[in-house]
Amino acid sequence: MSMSQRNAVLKRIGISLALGLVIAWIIAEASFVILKDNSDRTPQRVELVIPAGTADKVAAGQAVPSIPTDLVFVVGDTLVVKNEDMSSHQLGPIWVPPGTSASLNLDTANRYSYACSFQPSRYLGLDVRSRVTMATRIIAILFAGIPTGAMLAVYSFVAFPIRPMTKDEE
Amino acid sequence: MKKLVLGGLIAVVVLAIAGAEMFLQAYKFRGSVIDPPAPATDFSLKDQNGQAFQLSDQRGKIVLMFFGYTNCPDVCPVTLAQFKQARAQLSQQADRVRFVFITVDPERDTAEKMKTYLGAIDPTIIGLGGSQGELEQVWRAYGVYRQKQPGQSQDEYADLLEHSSRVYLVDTQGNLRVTFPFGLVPDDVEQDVRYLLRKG
Repeated sequence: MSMSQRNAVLKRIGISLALGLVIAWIIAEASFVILKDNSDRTPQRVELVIPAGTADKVAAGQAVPSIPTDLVFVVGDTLVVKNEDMSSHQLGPIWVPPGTSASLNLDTANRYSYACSFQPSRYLGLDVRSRVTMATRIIAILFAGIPTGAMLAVYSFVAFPIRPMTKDEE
Repeated sequence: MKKLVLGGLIAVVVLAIAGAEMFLQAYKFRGSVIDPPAPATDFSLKDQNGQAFQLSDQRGKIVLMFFGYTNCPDVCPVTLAQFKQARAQLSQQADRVRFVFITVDPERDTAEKMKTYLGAIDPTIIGLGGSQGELEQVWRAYGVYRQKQPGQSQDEYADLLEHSSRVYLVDTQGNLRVTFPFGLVPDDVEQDVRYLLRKG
């Protein structure tokens, strides 16, 4: 293979890879915008208040409107359960005496169903999601873009083969 | 030469600021923090040697409490083993920590049984028991859940007890400060205990 052919091949591969990355970026960003679920935010302290009278309501089988049945977090969030009731309450591993708050560090992505004393169902769902960071998005684009570019390069070599150049063309 | 001295000074100042920031950064507890700290409900129970144990007499020491029973197949032996490891890691400071195991099965956990059971794991762990009435007050005060699960055979030791598995940390002032879930990491306990002992 002559130098000029090698250059032409490398140029074709380079263009294909760049095109592949651009296509992957467009699809990734469009998906991210359409499906955006707020998991790209920075970790926060999220407060959940157990209002006074909750234990009585739960004993009567009534839900407390201000307490959701499922909560969504991102890895790194801290859930702070503030107990304004007269009884102690618990959520999974944490126990909250009356008049205090207790925190739960959510460091692992998973879906949890914790035993809960302030829901009539006695369970509270916690959905802890992995954070979507810029690094995550870039890695995803690379994972999709490089194979796409490689496939485009192969297709272009098949569809538009690089023919040997004549002495005049060189 | 002047540039070198200036560069060195800047480096020293930057390092000093970074060091000060690290030093002054608020300590982050490894366990679940109770804020504000709640006074731990006082109680008096008998230990495995028949001696009275009063929680309020432990002021000046850290108390780590766990509720379980000697026939427990998994949660309790694992937690008590972690207690043993945490105690070993605390080394000299372990003298200022009381590791306490309170039964949720007073019918079967006699003082002798507790002594034998804890003697095999770590004889320094204090095993507490009492009457059903005395223990129910303690369980209620600490939000302890317990439910009998009938066993598969007629053997009196076949019945299992489902129970809450958290560890409670009471500080030197007698306040509940932190709880740890089942599967506590001895390193986490060590760090939190050391911090609270430093604070006094």
